[in-house]
Parts: sequence; structure tokens; C-alpha cells
Amino acid sequence: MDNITDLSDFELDALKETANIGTGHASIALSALMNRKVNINIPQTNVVSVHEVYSQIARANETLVGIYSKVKEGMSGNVVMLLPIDCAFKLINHLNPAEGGLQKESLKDKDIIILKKLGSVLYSAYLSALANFFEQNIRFQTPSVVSTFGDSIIDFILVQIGEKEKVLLITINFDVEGTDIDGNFILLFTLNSLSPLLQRLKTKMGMA
Amino acid sequence: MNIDINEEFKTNKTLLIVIPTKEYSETIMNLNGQLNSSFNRITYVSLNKLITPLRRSFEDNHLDLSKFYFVDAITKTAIPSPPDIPNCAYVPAPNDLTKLSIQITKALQTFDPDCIIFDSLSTLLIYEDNTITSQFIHALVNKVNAFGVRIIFTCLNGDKEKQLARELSLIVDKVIGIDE
Repeated sequence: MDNITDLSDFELDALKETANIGTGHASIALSALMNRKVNINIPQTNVVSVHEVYSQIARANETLVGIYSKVKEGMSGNVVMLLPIDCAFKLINHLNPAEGGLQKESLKDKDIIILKKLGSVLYSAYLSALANFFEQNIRFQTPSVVSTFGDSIIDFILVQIGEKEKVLLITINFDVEGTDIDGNFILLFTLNSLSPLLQRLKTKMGMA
Repeated sequence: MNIDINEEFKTNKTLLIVIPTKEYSETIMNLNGQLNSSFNRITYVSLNKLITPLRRSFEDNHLDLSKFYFVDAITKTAIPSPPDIPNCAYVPAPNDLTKLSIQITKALQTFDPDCIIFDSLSTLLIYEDNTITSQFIHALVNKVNAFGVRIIFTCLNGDKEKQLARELSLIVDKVIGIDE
């Protein structure tokens, strides 16, 4: 198969649409967990080289918590939820009210379990929307949680992605209404892995 | 960034360097460059950056990788079975302080470093409170002193770190703050 280095307008529009649908599903799932309205912006969708990802993702100068998962079937890429560490602590307190009111200062194992479960719920919602759209099984690995600072968080977003790959980078900002919790969803898929999905979509629409 | 590590090491064996976030990567690479020029055996304890991009950044900055032994406590959180890399020992996670301590001891015993750079205390503080972090650092400083090895700790200049730096000023020989 030839390497894909870019997408047509149709392909990009189709992927933007799937990003919108998936984000909608994920935000509904987060809203249900938080029992609050979750605001999301329109996804930013760009085709970039791996090296360009570093300049595309803001917040690299903060200490962040990343809940990330590798997509292991149906397409190739990583999905990541990035939260400033203070927001992660507030989110954990909200999801685990038994400890509500306690000022968290460090990320303990039980907190990591809560964040992993959150990631599972959100990525399942997002990726099942994509799976339905493309009529393709899409599975992801159990989320991992990492906290770091500087541009090293981007290394996690790019983990196991080839250096020379072109990727579709989707970034979505969100905030939870009535709280000061905000963060980013970042979805990164290799263009080559999207090829069969796009082909299926074209066939479905009578364009192939 | 105007720290002269050789000059500092003339009178101090244990340093804590407090670095503004925006200058962190650049400062760390500058420190590594100075260590690379001055020493033949350096142990790099990485709690912050995955081993592959870390090694790549060393190569990009023309550092001699053969001089470095990595104790990597972050890569396994992303890649459970990372590739075997020469002069690299993995620790499962940055908050696994027992295994981190064991691997640093092994590095001291087998690699016999001239100097250790510990990147960074800020990552430890994400997972542990100040008391646990201070205790760990105290034990580590005692250990490296027993081996006669120099050590540099780095951290960001956040509020938690400033409190830790005050506590560690009694443990390390010198705390150096870098202005923004």
C-alpha cells in the first residue's frame, strides 16, 4: 500500500464529522459522570508530521496529567485526555466524593484507577461512535495514566508512532460548567491506518 | 542559564537546581552538555522523559551516549515491555521508590559514575508528598555520599517545589535557583 501523505477535502471533512460525532458522545459520557454540563469547542483537525505535533499542542509548559490509550484494532493511533494537574485533582474529588473537601496534593494509586476508568468510559464512547460510522471494530488498550511536564507529555502522545508517519491530529478543548475543570482531548491517528476506513466510506457513499 | 557545574562541584557535591518551567528542557540539556564535557561516566535518572526521545535529544545535542547510564522510571508506564537498550535500566513507575532506589544502587555499584543527574524531583512530587520525597532524597544523598559521587537534583520552581527546596536545603550542599 502506498503511504498516504495527505487527505482530500472530502476525506478531511468526513474525518472532521466523525471527530464531531465522537466528541459529542465522549462529552455526553463525561457529563453523565460529572452530573454537569460539559462544554466542548469545535475539534481542530490537522494533518501534520510527527515533528509538528510538538508545536500543535499547547499547555506543554504546565504539569499535566495524561490519560492515554493506544488504539489497537481498526486503526492505529493514540487517544489522550490532558488535564492540568490541579484540574485532575478536582476531577478525582468530584468523581470520588467520599474524599470530597480534602485538598489533594499528590496522585495516588487509587486516583490513577479512577482516571483509568474515566478514560475507559470516554474513549469507549468516542471510539464506538467512530466504529459505528465506519462500520469497523475499533478497540483500544486499557488506559494508562502519566503525569509529567514540559514537552515530554507529547512524547507519550506519540508513543509507538513511527517518526516518519503523517498523522491526523484532532484536538478538542472542554470545560465542565460550574467548575474550573478544563482540559483537552487529543486524538492522533496515522494516515495509513485511516486509508481502509476512508475507502470503506467512499464505497458506502458510492464514490469508489 | 549561567550555572558553571564544574565551578559548583569544586565546593559542593550535592546540588539542587530549581528551574522555571519554560526553561526546563533547555537548562537540562545545558547541564547534560557540561557533564558530558567534564566527566566520563554519568548516570541519568529520568522520571520525566521517555527513553527513546531522551536519547534522541542527546544525539541531537551531540552528547556522547556511551558516557551515560540511564535509570529510566517513566518509559514502562507507557510501554510495558520496552526494548533492551545498552546502559539503561528500567523502573516500573516513578512512584516505585524501592525499585528506583535499587536501580540507582546498581548503577553506583556497576557503572561507577562520576556524577548523577536526577530529573526530576517535580515528578516525584506529583506522586508523593513532601515528607516522603524528602526522606527518599535524604537516603539517596547519604548513599551517593558513601560512594563519593556527585549528584544534581533538578525541579521546577512551583510552590510545592519551593517548600521542598527549603526542606532539602538542609540535606543538599547548595540550592541554586534560576531566574525566569
